[in-house]
Parts: sequence; structure tokens; C-alpha cells
Amino acid sequence: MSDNKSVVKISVESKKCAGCLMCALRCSLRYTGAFNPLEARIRINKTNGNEISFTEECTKCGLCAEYCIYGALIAKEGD
Amino acid sequence: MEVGGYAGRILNVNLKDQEWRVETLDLKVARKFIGGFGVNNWIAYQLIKPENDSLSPENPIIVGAGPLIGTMAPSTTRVMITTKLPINGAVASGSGSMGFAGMLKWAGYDHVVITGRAEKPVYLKIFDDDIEICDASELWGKDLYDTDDELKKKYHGDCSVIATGQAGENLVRYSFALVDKTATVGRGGLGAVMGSKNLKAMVARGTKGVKVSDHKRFMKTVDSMLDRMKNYPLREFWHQYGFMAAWDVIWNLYGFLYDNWSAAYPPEKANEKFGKERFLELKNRGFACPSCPIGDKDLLEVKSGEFKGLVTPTTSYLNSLFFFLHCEDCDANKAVKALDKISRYGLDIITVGQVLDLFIGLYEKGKITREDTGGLELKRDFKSLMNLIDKIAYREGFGDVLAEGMVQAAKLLEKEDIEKQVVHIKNLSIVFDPRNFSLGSMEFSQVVNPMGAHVACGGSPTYMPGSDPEKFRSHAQRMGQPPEAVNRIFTHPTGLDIGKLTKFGEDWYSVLSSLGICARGHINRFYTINICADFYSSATGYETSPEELIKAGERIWNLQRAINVREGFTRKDDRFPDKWFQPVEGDGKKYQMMDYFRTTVITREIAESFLDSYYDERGWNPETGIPTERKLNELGLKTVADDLKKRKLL
Repeated sequence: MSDNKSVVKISVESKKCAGCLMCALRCSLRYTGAFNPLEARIRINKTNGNEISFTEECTKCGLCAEYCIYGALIAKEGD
Repeated sequence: MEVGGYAGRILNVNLKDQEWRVETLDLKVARKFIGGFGVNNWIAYQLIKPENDSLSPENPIIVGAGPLIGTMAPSTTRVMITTKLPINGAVASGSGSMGFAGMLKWAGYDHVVITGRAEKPVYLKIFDDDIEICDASELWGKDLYDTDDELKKKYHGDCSVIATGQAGENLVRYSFALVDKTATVGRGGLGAVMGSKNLKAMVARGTKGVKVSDHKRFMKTVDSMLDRMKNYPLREFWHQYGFMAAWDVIWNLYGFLYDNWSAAYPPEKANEKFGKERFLELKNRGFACPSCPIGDKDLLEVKSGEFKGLVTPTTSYLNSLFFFLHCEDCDANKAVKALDKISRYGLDIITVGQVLDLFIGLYEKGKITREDTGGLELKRDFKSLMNLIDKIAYREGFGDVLAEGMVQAAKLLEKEDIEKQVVHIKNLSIVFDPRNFSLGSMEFSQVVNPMGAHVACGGSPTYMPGSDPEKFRSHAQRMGQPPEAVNRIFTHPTGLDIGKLTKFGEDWYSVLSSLGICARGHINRFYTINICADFYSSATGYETSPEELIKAGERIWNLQRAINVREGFTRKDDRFPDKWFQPVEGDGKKYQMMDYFRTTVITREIAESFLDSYYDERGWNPETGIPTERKLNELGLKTVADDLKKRKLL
């Protein structure tokens, strides 16, 4: 899997999210140097289903989507 | 080199004095016992004394999260909780998945050790360095789900909760806890140990994160594993069905025993009223533990009838089968309602089902009467069973007797022969009966597990008896056994030595549980000892060979055994239930304990030969089932050997 930083468009389908947090784990490793999902730029709120959101710092690098196993995040080339 | 994987800290909490302190994790100890399950046992060895009762303030609750937890190593979420169990006095470890272990690691702790008894109800808050023993007066008396919901509401969701329900508060000896309302932990009375400490719950949130020593190497292994798991042809199937993926095998081949394991439940009826079609009607969605690509947990929703609108999470819909079989007017909706109620109380449905089944059966047969039950008529209809469950959770009337567990309840009734009717291993109700298909490692491991009838370490290809035995070679090698050891499993007269195979499985289980890897066979099948060693090395920075790692697994299992030898357990407690040797006929099928190939009936003599083999492979004294001084020394456990010698146990 790549480690590139090009900007992508990420389509989100929260219903498919199983809550595995792989997106947030991978994001946090890149941007904080540690596995630390509560400091990631993508957030999964499990209070009511799994709601996906992005922080203002998110650069749309698409790494989260690369690691989404359940099809909730899909990266597309473009802005 | 920067050490990673480990958070490097242990949180010690004394509830009596309302004090806590942070201790540095001794990395020499961590390397010797890996972490999680292994280090928990080392702490238990120091703290748990034979003279202390399970419900005394001195009995600790030891929480452990292994070095892979909190990382992206797939399916690494298992929190291990070690304590002396109220059901039998064994020092044992429950494990649960979901979010707590990760939160603990991200907060900066590998272990939490809780001792003492709070004067009033409390819950423990662990938010990074913000540790607080909080007033739980408002939560006491509430059920487990409501407790979890209230804590998550209070802390805005970004946290994980381990809680117990009213059964834990009321010291029911088979009460447990749930992680995030879902993952069961502490069968055999963890809930009661929490209740005895006035500890309603633990809540954790972590924002410090987990670092690994060599993240490029670590992620290379992650990526390789994720590719394999994503491309696994049955991944979608497991995600959709969870453990119900095995349903067709269970009802077609295994069948069901009930009425105190002495009658056959019609498989067609079970399939029609409880099977896959009913499950799919009930399934709302599947969900995953952190870092798990399989996601086999079930959110169930009753969509019709009396309980319409009920939504309940579970590790598996299949759990409710343990109620369904014993309820004469049951259907899938009622079984899910029962699962919800039992879980909310913090009760273990496997044990509850068998307690109800045993004592109602004794009542039906006239072995106990209304005089024994305080005037209560014991019946198998849904309403009566739900009423009995209420009485157990609150220890009301006859429920107070049943809350003691099957063996102790039978003793309390002081009726001749009743105690002999109880099917159990070390007072724990069994999970798998080998008469359903064969004596595999899953069934046998229940007999020798220090905890009692527990199944997490018995997984092997014996799930499917009779198929090509060559697959045991790759299975054993995956678990880190050298070829000459693997050859030994084929030397038993029946053709497959379940005793030796179980030893290999236990050592493997020790490694998985100490690292934090899922115990479910369809998930940890992607791991090998080489992958484990690679992950451990790149996470921690301590280059460790597969051989060293599986040796640590063996060391940990021996330590656990030695702790329980100190508590008085020996070979006499590794006892096959008498019922297993009694065939049952029903629906044109004979349920009889057979060997793996289903050509030999397992007699008591053959069963004992598997035990001999197990002790032989372990290097333990076959007469007593106690690890030998030589074995303990070989594993670097000389202090343990000296302790046992001093106590005249070696």
C-alpha cells in the first residue's frame, strides 16, 4: 500500500463502517508517529452507529480509505 | 533503540484507601512473560495467596493489555483479566475484545491492578494521567447496559467501559462483566469480584498513543496480513454470519444435548426455530473490534412480536442457544430477549442455561420439591425461566441457592445423589460435549484448563472429525511446534493424540493472549508463530525468535498451572464428567464419545490415556499433574519451583 500524499476525494458511507478504526490508526501513525486514533484526522463516533467525520487538519491524503476494509471510505482521484 | 509496543507502566489502585500509584513495567519481566495474559499471571503469582478468598478485599483484579494492542496488527484487542474466581477458587484469566484494552494502552498503561474494597460504590476512571475513583452511587443497582450507556453519555462516547450488572453487585458466583456491552469477560465470577469491591465499572480513554520500535517493518507485516485477510474468500461470510457461519455443521453433524446432557434436542426443530433464517431476520448489522478485518460481532434487533424494537449487541447470536434449548416454548425472539436480560444482569448465559436446566430437571424428576425451592414451582416455560433469572440476579428465595453455582447449590440442598448429577469441570459448566461428535482438542482442553471448562485454547482442525490428519502437521507447525513434536501427535493407539495436541494449543493460546491477538480460530488462523515473532520484534525492538516466543508461551502456561497447584488443584481436578461416558440416543442418532476418526469409543481408560499423554508432553508428574522441578527450572521458573518445594507441593 502506498504512502503518497496526493489529494483525493473521499466518499463516505458510514452505514458500511464496522468500527474497526483502521482508518484512524493509520492516519494517526502518519501524522503523529504513533497509533493514536483519538488524535487522528478522521474520527469515528460510535455513539449512534458509526459516524465518520474529518478534522480541519485533514489533508485528504486518502490513506484512511486505503486501509478501510469494509467499504465505508472510498478514495477517488481529484480535488 | 527505542522500546515500543509496551506502554511501560502499571497502574496500581487501592480502593480501600482511595489511592493509586503508577509503577514502571519491568521490561525483563515483560520479555519473559510477553505481556497481557503472561505478565498478568506473573503479577497474580506475587499477589494471590491461597489463604485469601476470592471475594476478600485482598483478591486483586489484574487487567492486562499485550504489546500488540492499540496497534494495527490485525485483530489485537483482547483485554485479559486475572483474578481468583468465586465459582471454584481457581486463579484464572478471562478475556474480552472490543475497546478497553486499546484505550488502556493509548492512555499509557499495560496493566491495572485493583485491590481493596471501596466503602461505597465506585467506578474507576482512567483517562491518560487523569485517574479518578469516582462515586458510583447513581449507577449501583442499574443494569450493565444502562451503566455503560450512562458512562459513555457522561464522557461523550470516546471511551470504553467494562461494567457488571446487578448479579455482580449481588455476588452471584457466575456473574461476569462485559466490555462495551458486548464482549464477555470473566466467566466464573469476575462480576462478583467487582461487586465484592464495590466496583461497578472501569472506564478508559487514551490519547497518548502506542509507538512501535520499527514502524516500517511493522507496517510491512500489517500490509501483508491485511492483503491476505481482505482476499480471504470466506471473509464476507464470517462478517455476515459471525459464529452462525458454523451453524449448518452444528445442527447437521453435531446435534444438541439438553435435559442435563441426557437427551437429544431435535436438530430440525432447532434449525427451524433458531437457525440461520431466524438469525438473518434478527441481524441488524455486524460490527468489529478495533483493528479487526473480519468484524464478526452481531447487533441483533427483534423486528416483530412482544419484544419488537429490542436491540442488543453480542459477541454471537449463538450464545442465546444456551437458553433456547432449555425453554420449552422458545423461539429466536425470546432467546434474544433472554440473552439481553441475562447480559444486562451481568450473568453468563452458558452457566445460567445449565443451572436452570439442571435444577428444573431435578424438580421434574421429583429429586427436589417445593420444600427445597421455597414453594416455587420450577417450569421450563419462558415466563417461568425469566422469573427464575430475576431471582438469581437478585438472590431472591431459591435464586439465592442457584446463585451459588451448580455444584454448591447441589450441596446446599443436601439431597443424596444430586451432586453426582451435576455436569461440570472444576465447578464450571461445560461448553462442548464430546458426545456430539468426537473428543477433539476443544472438548479435551476443558478438562485440563486450570480455569475449568473453558474453550478458548482448544481450537484445532478437530472441529471436523475424520478429515485428513495431515492437516495437523501444518496446524502444529503454525503454532510453533518442531516436526519431531508434531510426529508425536500421531503415536497414540487411536491415531491422534488429543492430549499432546492440546498442549501445543495451550502454548499457542498463551502467546496469542499475551500479545493481545484474538482467540477466535477463524481470525487467528492468519497468524503463525513466525508472524507473531516478527510483530513482537518490530513492535518492541527486542529481536525475538519464534522458538523463544513459543517457549515463553509454555512458560506462561506452566506458571498459571503452578499458581493453581498452590491453590490446591491437581490431577484429581482434571476430571472427565461421568456423563460423557454415557451414550444418548435420539432422532435416529447415537451420541457417544468417539475418537477423532470416529472409529473408537472413548472409554474411561482411553480418556485417562490422553491425560497421561498430556502430562507427558508437558513434562509434568503424571500422578499429580504438577509441573516437575526440572520443567520449571528449564523454563526459568526456579523461584516458582522453590516456592512449591517450600510448600511441599513438589
